[in-house]
Amino acid sequence: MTELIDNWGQPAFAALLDAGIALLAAGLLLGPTAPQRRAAPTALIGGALLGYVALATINMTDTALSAFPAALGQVLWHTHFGRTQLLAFAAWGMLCLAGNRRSIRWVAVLTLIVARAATGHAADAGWVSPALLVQTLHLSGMAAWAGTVFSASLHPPRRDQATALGQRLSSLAGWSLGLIVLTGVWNLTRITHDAPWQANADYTGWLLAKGGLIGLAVTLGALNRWRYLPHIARLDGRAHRRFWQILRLEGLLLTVVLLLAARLAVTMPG
Amino acid sequence: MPRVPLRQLFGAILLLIAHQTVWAHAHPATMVPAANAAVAAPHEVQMRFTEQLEPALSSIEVSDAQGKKVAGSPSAVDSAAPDTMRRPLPTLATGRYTVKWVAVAKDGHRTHGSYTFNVQ
Repeated sequence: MTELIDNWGQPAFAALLDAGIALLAAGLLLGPTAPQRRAAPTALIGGALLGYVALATINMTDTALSAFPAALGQVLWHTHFGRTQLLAFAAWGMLCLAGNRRSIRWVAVLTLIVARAATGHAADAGWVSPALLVQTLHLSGMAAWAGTVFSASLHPPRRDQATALGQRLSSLAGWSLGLIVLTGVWNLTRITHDAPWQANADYTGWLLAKGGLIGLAVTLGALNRWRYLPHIARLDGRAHRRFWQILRLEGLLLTVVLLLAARLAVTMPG
Repeated sequence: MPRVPLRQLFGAILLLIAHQTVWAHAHPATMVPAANAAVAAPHEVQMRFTEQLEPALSSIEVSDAQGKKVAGSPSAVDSAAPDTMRRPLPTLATGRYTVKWVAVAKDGHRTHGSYTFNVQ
């Protein structure tokens, strides 16, 4: 059980945090949303942040429960990771106070994404660096793709609004994928001194699983776009049902992708 | 038909889908004294790591053959070289010493380990 928490606890909270950020981004990208739909991602982000920081503190300091408060203070105030999390908490505070002010919500979601990007490999490059900028764009692309799929899966539209939403989803997914691939290629050129084919079996297994799921999700998205979306416009009920079934499956795959990405982040490749 | 460079292709695919944080674990790159070395009494233990370190959470402890911690100033990360950590030492007697290190990289990943050296 302890091993399960060690291996999956922090990644699980990180994936929840990423899902919350993605839903928040989707709310801004897909237009006005009801207050209860804004509250859910805000609550998810707040809870996930608390769990994530608590488990990260335990992992970073190997602390006993009795010494946890002191260790938490040390991590938050005296480490780069802690400063990124304080920034994330500040963004979460902005979200709580933003109400329906979209400009503040945009600032909050972008700040959250920067905070997430700065906890990664870009940490070594510093706050003002091309590495952080590119990683922020990379995570923004993932948030836009996953978030719009999650949001549409959870809140399917009326049939007369389905075509417009389907086209919007398709367009956003296309742009997001382009951004993800471009920033991925940039990252590739930055770190080619590494030898990923020498990674251990554990790491390579998770990585290939993640890559396979991304490929499946892209295939499902393409199926929806070219097979079912054209029929929805003709008010074809079967096509409508299939489109949203496939979208829910795509959302499920992307949830696992977020979890695997977070798991990979704490897996030693060698 | 030209051969497809499968190893390079596989590596490129792995890099494309890799989450970059995985590469930021700090491991010892150089250690002075080196592991299992037999040396004259050193005035410090110096370790350089593969990543920049978090000074607040990274440390080096040195203990003698009986497991007693060696006195002296606590270890510190070099402000001019954030990937390097030093632990000043008093004059050590002849014997075997164990170095235990904890390294927390900037991205928050914690690694730890130990090695021994001998003072002649």
